[in-house]
Amino acid sequence: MTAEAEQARQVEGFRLSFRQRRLWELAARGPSWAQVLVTLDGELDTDRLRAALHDTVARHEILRSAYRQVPGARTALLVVHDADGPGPRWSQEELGHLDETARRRRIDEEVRARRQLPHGGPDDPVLRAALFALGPGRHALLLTTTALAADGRTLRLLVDELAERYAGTPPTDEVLQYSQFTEWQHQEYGEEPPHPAPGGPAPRLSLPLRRPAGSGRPERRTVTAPLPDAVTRAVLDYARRRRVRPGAVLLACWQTLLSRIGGQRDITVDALIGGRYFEETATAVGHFAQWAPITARIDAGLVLDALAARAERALSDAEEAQQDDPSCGPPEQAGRDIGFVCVDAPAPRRAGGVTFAVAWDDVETESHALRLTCALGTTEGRTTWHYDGRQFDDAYVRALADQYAVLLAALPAAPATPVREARLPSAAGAGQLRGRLQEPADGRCLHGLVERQARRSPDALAVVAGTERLTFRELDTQADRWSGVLRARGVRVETPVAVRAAPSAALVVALLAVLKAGGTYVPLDPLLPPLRTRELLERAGCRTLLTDRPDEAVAAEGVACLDLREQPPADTDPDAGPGGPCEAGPDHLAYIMFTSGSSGTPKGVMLPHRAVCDYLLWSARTYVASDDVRDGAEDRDQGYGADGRGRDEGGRGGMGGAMAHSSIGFDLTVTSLFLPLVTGRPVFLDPAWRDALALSADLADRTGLDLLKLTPSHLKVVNRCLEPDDFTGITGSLVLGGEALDRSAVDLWTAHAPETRIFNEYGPTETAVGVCVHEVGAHDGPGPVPIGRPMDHAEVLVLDDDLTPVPVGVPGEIYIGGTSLARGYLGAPAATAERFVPHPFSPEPGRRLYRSGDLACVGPDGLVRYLGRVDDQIKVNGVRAEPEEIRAALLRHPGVRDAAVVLVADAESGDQLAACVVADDVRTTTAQALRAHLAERLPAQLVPTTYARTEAIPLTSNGKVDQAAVRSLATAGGSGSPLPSAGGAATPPADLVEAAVARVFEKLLGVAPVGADDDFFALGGHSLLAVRLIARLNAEFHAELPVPVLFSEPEAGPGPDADHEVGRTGRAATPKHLARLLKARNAGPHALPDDIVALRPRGEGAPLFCVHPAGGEATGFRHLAACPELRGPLYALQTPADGADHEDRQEDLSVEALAARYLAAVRAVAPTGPYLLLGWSMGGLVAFEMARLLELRGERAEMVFLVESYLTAQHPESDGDDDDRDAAGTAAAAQDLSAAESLRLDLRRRTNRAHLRAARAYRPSRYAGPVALVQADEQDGDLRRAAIRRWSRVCAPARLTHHVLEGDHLTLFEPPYVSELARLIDRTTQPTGGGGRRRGRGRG
Amino acid sequence: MVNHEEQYSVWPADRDNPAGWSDAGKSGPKSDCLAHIEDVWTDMRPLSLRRRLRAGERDSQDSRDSQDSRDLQDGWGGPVAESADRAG
Repeated sequence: MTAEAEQARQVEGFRLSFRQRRLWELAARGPSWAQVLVTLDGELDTDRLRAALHDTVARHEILRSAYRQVPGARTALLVVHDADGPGPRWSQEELGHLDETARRRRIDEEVRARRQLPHGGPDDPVLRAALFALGPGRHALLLTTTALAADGRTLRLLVDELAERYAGTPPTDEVLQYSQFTEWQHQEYGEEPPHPAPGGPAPRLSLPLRRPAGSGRPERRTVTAPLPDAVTRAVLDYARRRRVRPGAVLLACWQTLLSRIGGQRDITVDALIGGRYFEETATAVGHFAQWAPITARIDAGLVLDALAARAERALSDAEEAQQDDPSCGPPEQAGRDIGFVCVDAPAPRRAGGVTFAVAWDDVETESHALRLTCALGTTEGRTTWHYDGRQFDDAYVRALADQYAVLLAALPAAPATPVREARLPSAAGAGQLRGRLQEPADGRCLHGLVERQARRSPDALAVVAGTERLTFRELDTQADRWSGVLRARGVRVETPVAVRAAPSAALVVALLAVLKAGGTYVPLDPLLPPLRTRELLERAGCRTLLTDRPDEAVAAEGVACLDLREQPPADTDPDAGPGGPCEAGPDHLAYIMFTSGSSGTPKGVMLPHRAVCDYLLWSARTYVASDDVRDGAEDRDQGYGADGRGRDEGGRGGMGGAMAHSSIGFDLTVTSLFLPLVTGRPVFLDPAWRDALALSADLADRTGLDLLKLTPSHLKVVNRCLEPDDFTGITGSLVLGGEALDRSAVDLWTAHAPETRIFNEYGPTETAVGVCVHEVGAHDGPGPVPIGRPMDHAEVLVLDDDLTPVPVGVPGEIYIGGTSLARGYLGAPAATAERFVPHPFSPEPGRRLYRSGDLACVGPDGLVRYLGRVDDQIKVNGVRAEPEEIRAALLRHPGVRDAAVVLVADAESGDQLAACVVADDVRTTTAQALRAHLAERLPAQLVPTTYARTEAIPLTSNGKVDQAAVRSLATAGGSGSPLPSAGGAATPPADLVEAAVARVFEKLLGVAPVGADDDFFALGGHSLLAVRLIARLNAEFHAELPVPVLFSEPEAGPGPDADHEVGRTGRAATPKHLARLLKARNAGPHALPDDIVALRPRGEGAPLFCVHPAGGEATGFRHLAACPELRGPLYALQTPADGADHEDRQEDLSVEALAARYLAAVRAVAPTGPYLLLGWSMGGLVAFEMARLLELRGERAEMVFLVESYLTAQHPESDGDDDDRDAAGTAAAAQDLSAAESLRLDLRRRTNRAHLRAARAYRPSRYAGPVALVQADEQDGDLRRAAIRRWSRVCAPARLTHHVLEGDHLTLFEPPYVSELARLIDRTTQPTGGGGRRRGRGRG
Repeated sequence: MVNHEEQYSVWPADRDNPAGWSDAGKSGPKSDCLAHIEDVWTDMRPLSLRRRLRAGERDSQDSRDSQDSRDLQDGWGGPVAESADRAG
């Protein structure tokens, strides 16, 4: 084609319609397409079909039009090709030899491949056809075009016309060409209708089984489900009766389903509006359809009649609005949420002996996360579901399709029933007991299981605690002796006996002894404050306390303290005492465990032996290698350790067993403590392991455990502390419980310890440790791990308010039945009656269910998924915490008038409690005073970390504490004033680094001021916070301190005061010590001699340091340095050209590392400020980071110029290839290089790539200093605006200035444009005229 | 309402009783019902367990010493430390 012809064609281009213009913009973001698959049954004449298609295309210009980008504009022109051109692209494929599945797969493959087509070029017809021969007399025709050329109706019109032509009766009437329509539209509505304002991110309907979209492109997937004919007819009949369109009924049912599964009242759905308002457009070919967001409120009493009428009105309103203003429509958003389309399913059409039937049609424009398309014929119908496979599982979408069909059948049949009450089928597999309720005939007791094991393997190791060792025989004997003592003191069946001892052999002996005596043990964590201990003793009615610290006066009058450190006489008769042996039965209580209570006081949960034993026997079968379980198989009994194995190994390696590291007052510990004892394995104990860091340190060297049970919070600490090699072989089973588990938390384990089985266990204290479990497997995707299915002895039901099992994906409350139920709450019949409710449909009469207050849903796979709480209850690192109980304790402080406690979630390293108080006297109600007050009354986990003061506790409109408001008050940076610490005596920080570390302490702990010698742990820090402390410090100082530095003994530094540095024995968590480590580390980055070049060594005023673009070269600044307008010296930083030498270094190059290195280079030139920094393109990120580093060190840059610097995350195309603006800039800049230099271009490209990689990974933090954003006026406006938005998020708004200069990304630094830049720099930094220079201190 | 084990709970008055549960003679607001339960449910042990215990007690009545168990504490001079002694 000649240039003239091409030009002539351009002249013939038509403007796009408003709708096409939007589609054109969308197309830049991802593929869009229009496809239809037609089945052709009968003897097909292929040539005739091809001719029919050719003629159809000839009749409609839009089917032979291409789209040409208009230079300098955002839009394109429609260029129509001649009708006698090559016609649609045609391909034919024989699939007759394949089976049905293979055929489907092949067609599906082709369908996907063809979606990636461009919008048509001169030699690239926009319509492509693929004919598949399926067998004798069976064909399928796939037509694919761009969405710019067709909407769904167009596709169906095409098939009609194709059939007519094939039949030999071609349409003869005049047809409206799309270009005529667009011209008319432009005349009618004006040249440039206002563009819809860009909206924020699309609102996202939260559904329990929806996953976060994550990054990357959507994976478009499709599910099709036929509707029963009766349902289709019912919908059509109902629509006719109610005088609404069928689409309104279908939309109303869709809104109902979304409201039901999302648990939300207000539902917004994008509905497709046909957009063909005139007679002429009814049969025209092209894209007319548009989306309109339609919002409905689904209230409790709403019935279908009303909802369908509203849907009808909303649809016609939307049509009217679009008719009035075709440019209106939803704002631009990157990806839309929920869509709805209703189309007429054309009846199959017989033409020339062949039946033409549309199998499906699909027009993808805005990529909805989930879109329902309903196609209704006169009698038959189907639903098609298009969705993003990253967010929705196929199985879930199929379940949705089933639920939708059920609603379509139910709602029109009972139009007077509120739509929210329509029954959906209950989820299958949801924890229904399938004949499992039969209980073991021989009800067992907990101590009985241990005794049985003692008989089987008397010489196996049972307890390893420090240097202490007990075999099962020794354990049993000692427990018998103590049991005798207890019985002699009157302990009988269900007598509560408190046990308060550090993790030790004596602790295990004591627990067993209480059980053997028939009593009920009441575990009291020795770390509980005395007040709390006394309260629990009283509540439990304990008159005997077994303790290893009898000297601590924790017990009230009348409580006998027995010292566990003493040995009872060997001749104590276990059966001593009047009445003889009084064996406890399975329904007697094994223990009473206290949990936080919402009434403000702790609740004692009474657990019978049966519940605990059933759990332990189940976990023995599941968590411990099955061939080792010695349960009810006397003949298999090999008595672990009877062969002497393992006794001499110091408790490490190959012995099996478990570590009971957590508090005995926490029911999670029951597993670690008793599972080894009932399966013939050792239990390991060490008081130090209460600290997650100490536990992690031990785990690093440990191998061969059978079981390791952790809360996900503990797991986070362990994950951070272990090296990859350490994970292997630690344990056979890793059991996580107590909190929601995310898949990512176990990634390290699946990667490095593939042989370890990982279980997510769920169970409230009220139902004996665990009732539901899920084994993590390869099939588990990212996101929350399900809690799975009920254990054998438990029944786990997810019920709605009506006590009916919920449908798939609908949230409900977890109710638990089976043998694991507690008897109730000690001394609280009403509370018990409230939570332990009648089983509404138990096969066995009179059963109870525990109502957990936990929200969950059931997936299409039958697995239960935990969703949250129905009430305020929170879990802090796995421990239940009722805010009401903490509040009650706060109110007992004389200075506190009101208080609220919330959980502040922190993904980085666990959650923490924050308190907000209304206090009269700020001097006495300090954070430390409150912390001390609470520490006397509450378990440590329930003591909030941060405290803020406010005038009044914010309430919601219905009078409840406004959690979100309290959270923002209580967190650092919130508007609540942090309470001052008692402080005063503290040594103030001696230098800037110490001060910076102290500030991190203050932020994390919510106390101020923090002195140089204040210990992090003494101020309320704990190991989970410690992990965060180190993470913050490392981020701020670009250091790599390991967490254990907080615990290591500080090395004695030089100088006489070295030994004063230790804040606390064995720990070094003071700002002073940490600052010293950081300073030593920070000396790390050394400047390379070639890092800096003086392009203009002399001048007046502060020196300007310029950071290169991604290419790494300083030469680009040479014109700037030559500018007479610039008066100060100019230095340029560069990456030495011999890139190959630094290849390895560049692989892990980061903006932060580069900034640290360059700053060192800058310091070598100018040891003190003031500094002026400038960065060009990618160099802007480095300059910004250098300024931040200076700020952290207490210095500041006078100004940072970010010239044409774009945070790369805003480049949608920037992932993967280097072909973005920075690279383009560098490549073009490289053209300026001399011939000799160009030989090194290859090395440069590597540098370039490394820099771009670093730039992409860079996430800037906040910076408070002055920043000047300089942009080129020829740069794309959207990009520029986005950059302003992004930078203003991290810069102080008042100190950010914005300048647009003439030029483009490259020419800004070239004559003549560069003088403007030089003037700007000079003006900004040397503002005073008349020589009185504020910053006149030049470098000497 | 109450079940065969004399365990009490609450249930919506407008719904049929679940199998094995019968009215416990109180209906009204939930808080009233719970208050009633607080009064009448004095022994939270399941009835079957209480019955077994009573049977066991009768069996061992002969050998049972009805003396207050605290009197027996002095019988053994082991590691006993009355906190009362210490607390004064």
